[in-house]
Amino acid sequence: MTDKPKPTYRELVEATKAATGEPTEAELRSTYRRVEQSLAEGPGFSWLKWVAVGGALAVAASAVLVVRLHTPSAVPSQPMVAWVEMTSGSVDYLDADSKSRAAGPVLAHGASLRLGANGAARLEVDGVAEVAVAGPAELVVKTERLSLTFGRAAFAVKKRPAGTEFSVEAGDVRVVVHGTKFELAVSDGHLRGARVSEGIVELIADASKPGLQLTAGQSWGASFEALPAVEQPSGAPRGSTSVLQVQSEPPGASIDIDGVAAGVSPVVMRVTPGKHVARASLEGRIDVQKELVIEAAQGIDRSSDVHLVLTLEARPTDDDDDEPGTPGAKPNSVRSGSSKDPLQAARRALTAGKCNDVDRLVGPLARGSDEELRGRGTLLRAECQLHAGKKPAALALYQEVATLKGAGAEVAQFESAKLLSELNRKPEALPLFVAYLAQFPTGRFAAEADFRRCELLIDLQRRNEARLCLETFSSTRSDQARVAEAVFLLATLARVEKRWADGAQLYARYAESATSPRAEEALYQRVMCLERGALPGVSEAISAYLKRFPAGAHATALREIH
Amino acid sequence: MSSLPAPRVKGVDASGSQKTDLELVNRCLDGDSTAFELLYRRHAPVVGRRLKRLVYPSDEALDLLQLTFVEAHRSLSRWRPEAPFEAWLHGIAFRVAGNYIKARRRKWWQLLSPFGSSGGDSSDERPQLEARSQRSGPDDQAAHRELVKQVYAVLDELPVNKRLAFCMYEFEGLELAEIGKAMGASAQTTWARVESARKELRARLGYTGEASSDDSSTGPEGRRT
Repeated sequence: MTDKPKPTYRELVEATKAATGEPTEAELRSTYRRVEQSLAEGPGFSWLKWVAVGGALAVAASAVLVVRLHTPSAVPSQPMVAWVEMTSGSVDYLDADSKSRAAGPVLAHGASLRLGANGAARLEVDGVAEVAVAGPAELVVKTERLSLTFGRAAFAVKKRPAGTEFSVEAGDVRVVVHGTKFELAVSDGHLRGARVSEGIVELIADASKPGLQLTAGQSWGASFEALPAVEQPSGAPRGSTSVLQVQSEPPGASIDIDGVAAGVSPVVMRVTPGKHVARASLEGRIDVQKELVIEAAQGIDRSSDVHLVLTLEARPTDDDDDEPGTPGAKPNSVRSGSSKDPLQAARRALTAGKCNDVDRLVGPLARGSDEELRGRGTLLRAECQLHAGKKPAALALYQEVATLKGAGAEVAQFESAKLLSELNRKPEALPLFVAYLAQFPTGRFAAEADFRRCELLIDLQRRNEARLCLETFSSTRSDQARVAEAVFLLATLARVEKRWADGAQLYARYAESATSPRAEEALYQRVMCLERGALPGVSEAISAYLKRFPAGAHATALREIH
Repeated sequence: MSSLPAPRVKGVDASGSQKTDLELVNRCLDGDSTAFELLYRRHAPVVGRRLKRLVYPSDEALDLLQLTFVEAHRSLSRWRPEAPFEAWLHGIAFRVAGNYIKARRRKWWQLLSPFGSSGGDSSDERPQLEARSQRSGPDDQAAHRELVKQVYAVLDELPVNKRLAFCMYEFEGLELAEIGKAMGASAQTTWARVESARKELRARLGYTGEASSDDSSTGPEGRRT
């Protein structure tokens, strides 16, 4: 492409050294302030870190109830925390290490929220902004900024004090805001579009150059009319609720607030002012509950936060597994309902998110000789652990069921493989998907298992097998959306392997399919493949792109070439 | 702890140059928060630069710098003066950067993203297209960025240890023994990692035929150990 002579290896290294640069004095100062904040947070920071990385807190043995007011520092000095409210669809919460963690309403620094195709969520970022996200999307909470990795989101950012800049990373562009409302769309690591409805934002692609300023009513890049709508957040503070943080010692207890399941500790939620009852229960521990009075919050600052620590004392013996206050009850008695059918009662407990109750109810079945019943009971336990976000525990239970005879084996085998994959144990997951497909070639999850097998082959860098897998998938399966995804992956593989003609043809096929949300990207990649492979049809491919996406992200560059 | 004072004047080390790292660490452990600030000012520029080079093109180097110093503060009592403080600190920075790179790599969609900074050998495509559109005028900066992207696209596919060793040796000019100490490996192992990374980089970027006289003289037995 360039007429310049190719640099030597040493020149290449020197160019790299020169380009990466050094942190500026301002960056170092700002980072030191954050170091100070982190250190000043002390235990609070540790707790947030725990939330983020899913580590374990020390188990305390005392049986003391501690209620203390949380006294946070001023809003700008806190590590940013986002309060999540799901609007629809499913969501994966990932910690700073990309591992799935228990679902919960709080996202700490480094954690991310990934929404499925039908997912939608609203986030209140402490003292800073409200965000509405439409799936598929991923949003990562970082120190003093958010990162939209992919997807679409609308932001309403509060005015910030001078010198406390807030920004959003949108793919390869940094969006600097000073109190405004705007929408962003990101795909494949690049900002595709921005639209401002209030105030001013600055789009900075290269820190060494001035950014592009957008004012109210202006937009850049992709046409938003062509994209699914994202509900605009109001940006108004939710002054009527306060934040309640409930921690348990040991952690991992099921928490109920006023009899409603609130998740597994540590739990952070918003509650209305007034009297509330928090209750913690954990297998092998005596349930504990505490009444507390919440005062009204002042705006969305966190001065009225209440931090509750519930300490659960160990039960004397396994046999003494009774509800507190019900002496003499049988260890395996049904306490979640009046039903005599433990599976039915366990299902109700599962719905309420009470995994301890599920475990106790199906316990007798697990010791029985009927494999069908054992399987069904253990499946309920596994499902509950999964809902509670305890994937390793769920995996162990699914693996147990997979070895049993009965109707649950198919589900268990598929879920085991899926969880292994999600827990980053991909080399182990792959043979399980293969085994599932061999045992249940027309099973309920066969298509999904087949597609995931192809994805795993890509992950494991087994490109030839991945290509065969995707080719077979795209020619034999009927799920059009999945087939289109397979074609896109095939095209990407071809491009990575420099099979330009194949890549161009596959991208064209993808773009033509009815279900092709990444059609713009595919048409652009088709141009790239034709151009890099010095193949005929570049002009036609560019015309096809411009015809369909006249205001697309690559339209300007392609027009210049055209 | 107070915020950072004004930048130091060139030639005058306002960051406690009279105090050794050992004295500053002892003062930190005695609860003197300004001593840690002095340690930060003394070491952060270099650690920050190295982190930038390790995780480029991500702009999270400053977050990693923050994590490094927070981790260092919490582990100060574990530092043993027999080893230079700088090497100990770099060990922490390497771990932090290594974990970050591994975590980033686990996101498979980045691997296959069309212009993914960490993916395949495709990250150079858009700049090339842009270069074509700007053919009328030379743009060295763009060409440099292009080169850097290509280098890091290859580094992204290397094992983390090789990447760290290569970046520290080639970009930072550290000695093999120094890198090895920070990474908990021998100079020999570090050299093997650097060589392996070089080999991969040369092969992937089409330097297989080029003589390696510029780097063949160095090595575990050479001047930079």
